[in-house]
Amino acid sequence: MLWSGTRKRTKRSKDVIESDADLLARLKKRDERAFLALYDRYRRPVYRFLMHMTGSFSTAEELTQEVFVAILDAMCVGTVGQFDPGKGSMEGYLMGIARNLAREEHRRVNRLQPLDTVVESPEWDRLMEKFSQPGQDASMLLTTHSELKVLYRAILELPAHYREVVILCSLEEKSYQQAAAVLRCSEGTIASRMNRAKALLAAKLRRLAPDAVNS
Amino acid sequence: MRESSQSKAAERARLEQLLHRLRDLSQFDPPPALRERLEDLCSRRMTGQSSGPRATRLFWLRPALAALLMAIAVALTAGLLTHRWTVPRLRSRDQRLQAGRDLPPILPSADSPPRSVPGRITINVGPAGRLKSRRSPPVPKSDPARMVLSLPYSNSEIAAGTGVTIRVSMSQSELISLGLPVSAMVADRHVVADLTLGDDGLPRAISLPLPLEYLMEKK
Repeated sequence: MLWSGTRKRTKRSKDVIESDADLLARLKKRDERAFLALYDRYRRPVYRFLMHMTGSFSTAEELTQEVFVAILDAMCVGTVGQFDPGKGSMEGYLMGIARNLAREEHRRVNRLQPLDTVVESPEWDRLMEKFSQPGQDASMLLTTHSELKVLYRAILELPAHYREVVILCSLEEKSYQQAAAVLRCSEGTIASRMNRAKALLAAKLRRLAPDAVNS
Repeated sequence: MRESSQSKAAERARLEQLLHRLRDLSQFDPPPALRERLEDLCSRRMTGQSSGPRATRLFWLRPALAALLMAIAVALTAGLLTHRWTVPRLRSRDQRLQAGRDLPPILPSADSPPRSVPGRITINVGPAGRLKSRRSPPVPKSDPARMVLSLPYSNSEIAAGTGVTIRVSMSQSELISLGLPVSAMVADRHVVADLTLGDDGLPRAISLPLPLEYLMEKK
């Protein structure tokens, strides 16, 4: 499924690379509008990635700001030219910064937040706002809600390298190639991590979902 | 076997479905306030950067100013220290010179016998001759250099000693207490000293032959 749209995606990514190059040229000239255009273009994937990585909207917001402030600093100092569009996309570059910041944040906090508090947090409620729509079967909704809750918890429980792959490939719809560019590893590594992560998630769902439904 | 593979496939399919659902549910955008904050920050940075090229061109100015200030500070400190070191020395020299006008010369002349001043340590190096060369004249062995200490409680009105000198032994601690610059390392060691007596019979000066002659202790 991932490889079916390769040609289409390649063409699209080429367009993005070209416009990324233009954007980069403007950033080098310290164009304020270019910075805002960069933010408008990549704010969503960065924010969502950080949201899934940290499990917190407020932390994701803070770290998203840090990602773009890092670009702004580089722009002011003149080191934004160190980014090479030939080696990777601007999105991959930003996601790389976001990933490093998420890891730093994890190290900085250095304490395991009880998952119940994460799952029962306003984040989860906000996530589920869209879920409960009128006109759907109540029992079906309840089952899916419970399963989603278990899945969300299972994703947060995954080791960081598996979680990154699941978030990028499943929740952010990145191809293996793009994920490999962000995580700086081979596509084979991404594929194996994805396979392993899905096996872990399926096992957790199998184990926890019936209890969650019953409860 | 087949059932288990089927159930695994079903689990995977359900997982994919749930992931897809979760992806749809988590399509959030960052708050608009974040964009405003970044815009504000960017405009502030850019305003600050407007003088950037000039600042880049004059990048050497700041270190140069710092170096200049440091050099001035060092020069001032050195000047102050030199001033504090030199002025008291000059003053004391002037004072000594002024005092020296009323006092007999430290180096005795060939005609006049050495006179001691109360409380003043003088070093008698023998009769002074006219220096013909820069080399110091050889000190005659018969008249070795002496360290003379005039005793402060002597009556200066009475003429100097009669030349009656008695040889005594004094401990170094006594010499130190009188103000003679001798080593305090071995304070109980005894040295040979000459005591000059005045007309009234009181001691006027103590003179030490240099180098000091130490007395052997009797065990």
